[in-house]
Amino acid sequence: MGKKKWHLQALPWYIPLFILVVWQVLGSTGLMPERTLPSPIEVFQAGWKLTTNGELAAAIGISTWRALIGFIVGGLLGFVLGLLNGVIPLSEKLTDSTIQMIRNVPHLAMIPLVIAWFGIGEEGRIFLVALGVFFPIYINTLHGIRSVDPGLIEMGQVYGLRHWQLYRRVILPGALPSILVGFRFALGIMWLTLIVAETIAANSGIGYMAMNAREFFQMDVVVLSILLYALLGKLSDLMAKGFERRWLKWHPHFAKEGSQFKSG
Amino acid sequence: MASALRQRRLTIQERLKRGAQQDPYLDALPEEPSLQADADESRESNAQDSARDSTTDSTADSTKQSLRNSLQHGRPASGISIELDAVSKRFGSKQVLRSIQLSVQPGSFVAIVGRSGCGKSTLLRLLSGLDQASSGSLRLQGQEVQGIHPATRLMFQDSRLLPWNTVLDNVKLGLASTGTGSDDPRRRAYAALELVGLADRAGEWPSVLSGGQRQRVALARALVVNPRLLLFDEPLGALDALTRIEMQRLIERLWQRRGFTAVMVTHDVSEAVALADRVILIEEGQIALDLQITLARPRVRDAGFAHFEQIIFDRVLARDEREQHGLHVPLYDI
Repeated sequence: MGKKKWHLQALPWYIPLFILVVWQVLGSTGLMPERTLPSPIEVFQAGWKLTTNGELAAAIGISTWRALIGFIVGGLLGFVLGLLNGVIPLSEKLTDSTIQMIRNVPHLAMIPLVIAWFGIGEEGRIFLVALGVFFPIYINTLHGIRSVDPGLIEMGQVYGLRHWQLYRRVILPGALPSILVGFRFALGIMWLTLIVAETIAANSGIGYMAMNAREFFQMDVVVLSILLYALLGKLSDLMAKGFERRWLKWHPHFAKEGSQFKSG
Repeated sequence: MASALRQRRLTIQERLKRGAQQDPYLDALPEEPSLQADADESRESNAQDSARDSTTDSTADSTKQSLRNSLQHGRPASGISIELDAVSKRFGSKQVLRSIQLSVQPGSFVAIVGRSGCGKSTLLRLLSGLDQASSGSLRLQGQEVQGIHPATRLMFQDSRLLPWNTVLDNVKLGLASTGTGSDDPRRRAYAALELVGLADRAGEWPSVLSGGQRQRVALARALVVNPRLLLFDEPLGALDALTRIEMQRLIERLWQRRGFTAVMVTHDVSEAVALADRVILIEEGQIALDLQITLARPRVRDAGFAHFEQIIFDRVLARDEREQHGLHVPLYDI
């Protein structure tokens, strides 16, 4: 039973491990020149060097900080507006079509404009991240609130739930699965926006580190940056999944997911 | 496993054989100690309240006070009366109810039957305060209905349990309107669950319960405050036959014990005859038949039972024959 469980948990890591081995073999045998793609060991050595001189920690720190601030600003705005528009029809009539119009503009297309406005300061990047994060959270919050079973709301009214109690006990929990889907989407968009913004206009952070390394042809640092993004993306996805497990315990889907390994 | 199943089946058969004389859930709790304790408490608080009331000397205040008390303490509250005077309901140009005249005794059990779309559910929604009458007056215990009455509870066809709350928290929701004044909601919710025989499932999510169990939880949620008027909107419509009969007996027992006024909308005539003191047939938004069921309780499906069923069926079918002179053949679900 224990061995079986270990096998199942290792399953998602087989393919990454396999790619890593093949990659190393290709690099060591010289089949793939270092100028095209440095081998994993070289990337690891570059990572070690940057860790010891503190550059890596500084770059990750500043990038994470930007991502978080942008996410909080955009996410909160999206959540509040989604909530308002889901509950108050007048608010929805007033703002929804404007929001939908802005949503259809790819927010990365605004980079030239953002550089013109903010230069390459922090505001511009945070603005872009916030803009990117806003829409998935807004749309999914609105959708979640709209899809709450009206029968449950009616039941809440019959049982004397008023205003705030009705939101807290019926509407918000009912909208939560959809809100968390938006949360996961937004996390992906957050990293994507930040990479592009840091690559084009920045003087610090992971993206800047990658662009700077390209100038000096340090391919190992470029690859390291790309791997870092993959890792950070995976970490935030794990975080989102953790929230889902914690808050959607009641949901049959997540209840099943939890017991899947036990029964297997 | 198989023997456990057989045993379970046996107990169901036994329950059916034993008839309504023994209720599987209520008999499991000989004296309901927790509720009795409540009754003792409220007797004490009654004395205090009456002293307080005599000083304020305001009848409106005292009725409100007694209502609040009956909601907060487990004291069995008596049912309330219902008076409908020329009640009509219109949705746009469609007249759903036409000048309904009805008076219901406190503590009685009334069943409303009729085809789908006859207006019976609309009538129930008016009684619950979820909808408002287009004209006419609708009084509960002499007071005009304005919105949702705090002593009224409604049971829906689907259980409408909150999937993100445990069974116990769902029952506790029934206490929401009494505010923070009620003593130990957890204990009271637990007592209500014991009443419907589901105390052992208190910590589970509603999604793992069967349809009948969910309806029992919904019943516990409705009963946890000792409602004075309990409205049923086809609450057993989606259940299988055996569970249905069990639920009917449970509802009858609880109604006899608690003394609330009960109004049940159903399309099952034999369910109406089994449970109600009085069956009201609604056709095209009007009362077509108002029948007192004079059978003794607990009711057995004998000749007398069939007689009452027949009267109702005859009345419904008579209308079919009338309509056959017209062009359409009506579909009915009665």
